Amino acid sequence: MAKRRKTNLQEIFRENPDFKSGIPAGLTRRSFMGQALAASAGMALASVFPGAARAIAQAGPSCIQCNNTPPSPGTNCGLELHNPPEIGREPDGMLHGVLVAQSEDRTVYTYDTIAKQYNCQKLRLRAYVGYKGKTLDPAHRVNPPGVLGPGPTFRAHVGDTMKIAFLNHISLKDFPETKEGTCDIVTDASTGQQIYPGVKPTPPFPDQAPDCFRGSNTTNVHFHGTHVTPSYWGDNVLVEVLPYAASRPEWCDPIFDICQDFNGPSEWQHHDHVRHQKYQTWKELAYTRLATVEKQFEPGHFAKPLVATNRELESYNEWPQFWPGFYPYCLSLPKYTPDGPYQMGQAPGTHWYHAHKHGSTSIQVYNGMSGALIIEGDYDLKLRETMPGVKEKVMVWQQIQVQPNRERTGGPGGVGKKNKAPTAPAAINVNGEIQPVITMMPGEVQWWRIVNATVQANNPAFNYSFVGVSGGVAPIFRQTAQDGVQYHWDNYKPQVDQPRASVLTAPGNRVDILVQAPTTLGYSALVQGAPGTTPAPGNIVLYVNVVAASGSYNQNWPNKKEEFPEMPHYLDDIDTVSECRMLDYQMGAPGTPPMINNKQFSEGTVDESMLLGTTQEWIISNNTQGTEHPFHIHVNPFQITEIFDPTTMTAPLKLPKPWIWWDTFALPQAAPVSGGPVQNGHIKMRTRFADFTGKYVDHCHILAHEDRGMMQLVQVVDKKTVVKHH
Amino acid sequence: MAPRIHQIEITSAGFPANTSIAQFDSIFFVNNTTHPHQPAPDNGTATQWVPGPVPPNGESPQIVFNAAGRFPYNCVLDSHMKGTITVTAKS
Repeated sequence: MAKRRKTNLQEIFRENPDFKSGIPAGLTRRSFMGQALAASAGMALASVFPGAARAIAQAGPSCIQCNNTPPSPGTNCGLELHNPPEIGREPDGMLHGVLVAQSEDRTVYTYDTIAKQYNCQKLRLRAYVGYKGKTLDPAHRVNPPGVLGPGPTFRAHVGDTMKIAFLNHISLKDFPETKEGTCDIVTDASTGQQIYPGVKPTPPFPDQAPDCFRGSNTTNVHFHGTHVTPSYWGDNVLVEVLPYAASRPEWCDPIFDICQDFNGPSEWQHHDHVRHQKYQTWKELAYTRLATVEKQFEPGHFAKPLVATNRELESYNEWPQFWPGFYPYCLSLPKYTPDGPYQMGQAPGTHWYHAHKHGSTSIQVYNGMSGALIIEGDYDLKLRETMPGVKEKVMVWQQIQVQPNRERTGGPGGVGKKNKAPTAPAAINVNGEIQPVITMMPGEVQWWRIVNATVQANNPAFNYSFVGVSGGVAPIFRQTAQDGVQYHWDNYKPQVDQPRASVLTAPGNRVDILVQAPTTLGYSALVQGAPGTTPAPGNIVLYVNVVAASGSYNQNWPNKKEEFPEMPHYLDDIDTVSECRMLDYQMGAPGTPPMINNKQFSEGTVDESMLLGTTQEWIISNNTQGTEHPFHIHVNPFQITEIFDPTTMTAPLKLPKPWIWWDTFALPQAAPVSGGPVQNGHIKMRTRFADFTGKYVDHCHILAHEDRGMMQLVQVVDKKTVVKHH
Repeated sequence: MAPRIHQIEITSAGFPANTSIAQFDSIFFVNNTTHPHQPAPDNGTATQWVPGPVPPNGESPQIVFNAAGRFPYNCVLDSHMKGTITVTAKS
């Protein structure tokens, strides 16, 4: 049954219905006394070869269920929310950090809607670990071992260069690995029946490589929301970093020495021989290591030697695909100036990063491989000027799973429990905590930066609201930014008179909201659902607890135009377009393949090619009933100018200017209109393919759909050419 | 042949008595009972295969078998529950 989300759309597009906080009946107020979380004891990972000796892990926290609203004393849910640990910039405009993907045992809560209870498990996950600086100095590790949570928050400024040494230390002994060019094959051990990807006729369209779950230990990093080059060491999601426990951050240093303000190896070749030679030397050493890494795998794992594959790509002027356990991400965040070289600038705001290797994106993000990326600029300066001393809460919402089994292409059961309906999506963890509490003072205003790093939470509504519990009163809030791009004053202003009642956030979205606590002491909850939703263990994301005032705290928020960040010129509305395209995101009945324009993602095919600097309008439709596919495109944000949601509209709604900027938008699902035939939902968006050439992707941000083929390869090409026809 | 992943179902009857897989394959447990279970090799430690109990309706991480052999196992929480995984060498 399609859930309605009229309230969300009306709010976003400034119709602002009355705000009502739902107060459930029959709840009694309980006092809450937070208890410190006994962090899961860190433990060295020993071999999991069967029969090998291994130290017994120390016990983690006990698993007391979180079935009370508000949380009861003695539970290990309902603890005060902590921001993820951060890695910040240096005064010289550089950010140095090490990000390691590695195997780690962590304690995880999930919610089973069938049994209606929370489950607590210690799970072996592929996890992100962060280090400040340039080395793996244990003293500089920022997130403690064994404790569930996102990767470190990277915090930089517009104009900075981020140099992040990325290491893949995932152990091949801990997780299975798929032979190149094949899918994970899952069988029922008792019957021998193949349940993934399945064999015709069940399902009728078994997944096939490259569009299937596969290669779950190979990875890369997508810096979601950055406006940087998609090539070389930028936001390049086409590289594959293979697992190699011996890789070291120092291996990235030769590139970090020469990457700032780089034009890339192709231009060095012609204009900067010193840098070109350094790059060549570094690359050849990497290839030597790559040959070593290849020997970790079963003989015949790769179709051809990896170095040979890379050299073949280079011979066609393409970037090498495979890297031996390390990759130097070097992102220069462009600062826009009216006379500067950039058509667009990096929007300051709340962005994020996550794994993005096709075929393993879903399982790796389900394992928790995501984190916040905060890029500060004029937006932040203005808000802090208006709200001195404001508390900032950085929240990474994650769902933790160990199997990529939210997509059950084998029909009921699929890769999971036999003869049972699929289990509910995992509970939402906030910074690794389940149902955390944010303590506020009466009337306090806090700045919340929310990163929706879930894989498919709350589909298809993607709707979250505050409700009072046990006599408590819900906070009110105003949104200041969407997907790391600030609102125009005209879009913020209506909230001054009428604060928002709910917020729309699909997987991949970020929202910045200013939350004002009520003056009434007590609890409220942020729940999955529309205003008035009754809080229940399975839908509570977090609590707000308003306590008696003490000390000084911020009670200001922007009420006048001069108190709100001015919209920079590069975010002016796109009034004219030079080209139009139509994309149809398609997924039929369960078991059918996810596609775009009747095609799954395929290696070696560019699906959308355009000239650099063009402005375009895309109509993007969704033919799926019951599912909203969050459309996401890398590198450049877009503006939504029109929306058609067949579940709530009879005709498309043209949106008023100024249009809000997004980089991910949940495409409205298909539905019958007024009792008539089913019509596809759609949006119209406008975007500029500005500043950066190269190859990148658009895709559904329900990441299992992306892994299974709902992705396109986009290529932006330069108008310039060295060819002259005299 | 590429390595396979095998789903082993834990039911009210316990573990399946015998499960045969090939070298480099992996397994994971699906707990279809109403109680937590923690499978572990008889000759190993309690957390050698899974880092903690698999709750009802839960699934374990995947466990890779890189060596051939016969691996009897039991439930740490219910020692009467037993099974064996036989791993045949890949030629």
